[in-house]
Amino acid sequence: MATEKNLTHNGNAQRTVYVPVADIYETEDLYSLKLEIPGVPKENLDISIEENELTISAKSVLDDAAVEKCRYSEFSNMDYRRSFKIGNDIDSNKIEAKLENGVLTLTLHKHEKVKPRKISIKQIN
Amino acid sequence: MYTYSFFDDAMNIRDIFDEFFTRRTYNEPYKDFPFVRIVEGDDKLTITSLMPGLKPEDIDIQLVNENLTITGDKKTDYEEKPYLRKERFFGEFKKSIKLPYSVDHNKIKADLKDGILTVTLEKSDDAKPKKIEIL
Repeated sequence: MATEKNLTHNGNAQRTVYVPVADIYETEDLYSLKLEIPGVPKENLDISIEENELTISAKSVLDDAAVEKCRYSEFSNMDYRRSFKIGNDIDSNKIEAKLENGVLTLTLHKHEKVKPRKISIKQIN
Repeated sequence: MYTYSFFDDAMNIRDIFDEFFTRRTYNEPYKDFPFVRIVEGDDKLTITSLMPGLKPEDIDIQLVNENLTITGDKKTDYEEKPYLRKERFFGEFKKSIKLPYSVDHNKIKADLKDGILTVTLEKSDDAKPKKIEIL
């Protein structure tokens, strides 16, 4: 077909676990993670925290229908899994997740006590 | 049975060199994006492509003769923040797919859901086998 690269495999659909790419930034009061997990509906996504490890696992809807023939493919039917070590500065009760167009955005809020605090100075005359 | 062939090893070396010279450096456009899959059913073609983070208005699909071209621009969503990691790809991309037969232009469907683009094409009547009656 179009190119020489041909990764087709017939019949038995193999599933591969991919490590999704991520963008991470940190601010004074939160960490933000953006992961690309195309083909994952909300119900197939599982986010968990266990012993300071944040794990994102997801199952994509991609599947070869048995009657149809895969002619050319640059990816296999995939599941996603990635773990991140997190410190104890993260409040595990305050994690927000948003899934939009195959991009998962996680917002991890830090504990109140680790956030920088401004100390007001009282002036006594 | 296995017969040692010098050419097998020579091919390995070739692959190593190929990989070295085609390796992506930082500023080069990401040539492989987006990844596609072509599935063929009965007189039907389904092209699936992984496009996380793209909106329908960012993607342009064109069919010229038997070439399907997908072009688009994945706009950055970086914020003015100190990033610890930047692994995602952003930028313009273009991918052409040569279709194995001509398709019916009126029955092309494209759908974008959860970051997956699905284009469904049907074989045109001209490309289907036609029985010719002998008079």
